[in-house]
Amino acid sequence: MNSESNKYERITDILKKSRPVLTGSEAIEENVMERIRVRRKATESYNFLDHLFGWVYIGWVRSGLVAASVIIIAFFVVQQSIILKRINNLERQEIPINPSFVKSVHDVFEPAFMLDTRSGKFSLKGGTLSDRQLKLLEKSINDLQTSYSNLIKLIEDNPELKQYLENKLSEKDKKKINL
Amino acid sequence: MIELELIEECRKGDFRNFRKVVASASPFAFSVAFRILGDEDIAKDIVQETMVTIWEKIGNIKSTEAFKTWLYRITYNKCCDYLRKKKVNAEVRADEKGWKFISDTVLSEHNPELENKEIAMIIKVLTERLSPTQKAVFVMCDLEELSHEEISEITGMSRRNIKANLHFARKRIGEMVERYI
Repeated sequence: MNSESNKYERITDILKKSRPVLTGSEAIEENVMERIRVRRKATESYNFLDHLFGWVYIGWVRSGLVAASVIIIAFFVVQQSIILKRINNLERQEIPINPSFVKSVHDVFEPAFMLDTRSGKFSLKGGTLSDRQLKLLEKSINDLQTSYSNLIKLIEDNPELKQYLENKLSEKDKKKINL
Repeated sequence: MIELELIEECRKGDFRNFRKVVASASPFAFSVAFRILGDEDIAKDIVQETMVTIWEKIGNIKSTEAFKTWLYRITYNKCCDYLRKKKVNAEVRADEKGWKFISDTVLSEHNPELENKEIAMIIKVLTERLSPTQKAVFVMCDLEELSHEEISEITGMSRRNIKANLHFARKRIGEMVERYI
């Protein structure tokens, strides 16, 4: 027993005196500081969400609200991007102007008018019309249409005049003006 | 030596000198972890985790004087967690090479300064038949020379329980020493 305890004491003595040496302590320090930096970032982001939903005390409800808000924001972003994409596509397209307007203009001018949405001008056989000219043209066409409508109404109201005109037109070229 | 002024600064939320705290506290944590686990790399990992936990919770300690005990407690808990997760080999065989080395060391005339590998091997051979708790109590009491009161604070065990575990650990190691040396 005595020799056993002596050996035990001897071996524990040796182990006490031989303290383990920590090598690479600088690397450990660096790793610890890096881990702390990562944790700090994570904590900051958590605090932001915590601040937003701090009024909810039940953990899973708070997590649910966070998840729902993230989904709604993502949905909103996707919707917005789709809408913007469609608007861009529409802006690139050349839209023909009102057919009745084109038809009436076509009756007066030979060339076809096309609205160039990017420049805001109508093209006219290689040339262009300014906004002011276009308004004048539109006004004159509208006036012409009004006068034409009044004339037609006047003819319709007066059967004798209508009959007279029909007779006259049929003699020449009935196809040109169809009453 | 751990500077209490730096601990006080960190306790109040000023972490500018926390790197110095890591530098001074790491060797203590490493010594306990290495002696309990017997593996240098794992002990270093435990030290890093311990330091991060200290950074997170240093504001909770009551006084700077209690820092060292608190440091040991965190290290001890991390070691216990590791040992719980680690699969324990059911079959324990006597390491003849290890016992030969211990025998030579004990019987040599002078007091040799052992390297980390040798320390790890001796502790591993001596404590292979001990439970994690007995091993930790043996390391803290007989190698780190902490008092029963300190060990009680660190482990949360009663003094009677510590005495019982220490008695059992010493008895087992003594029997093995008698048998193999």
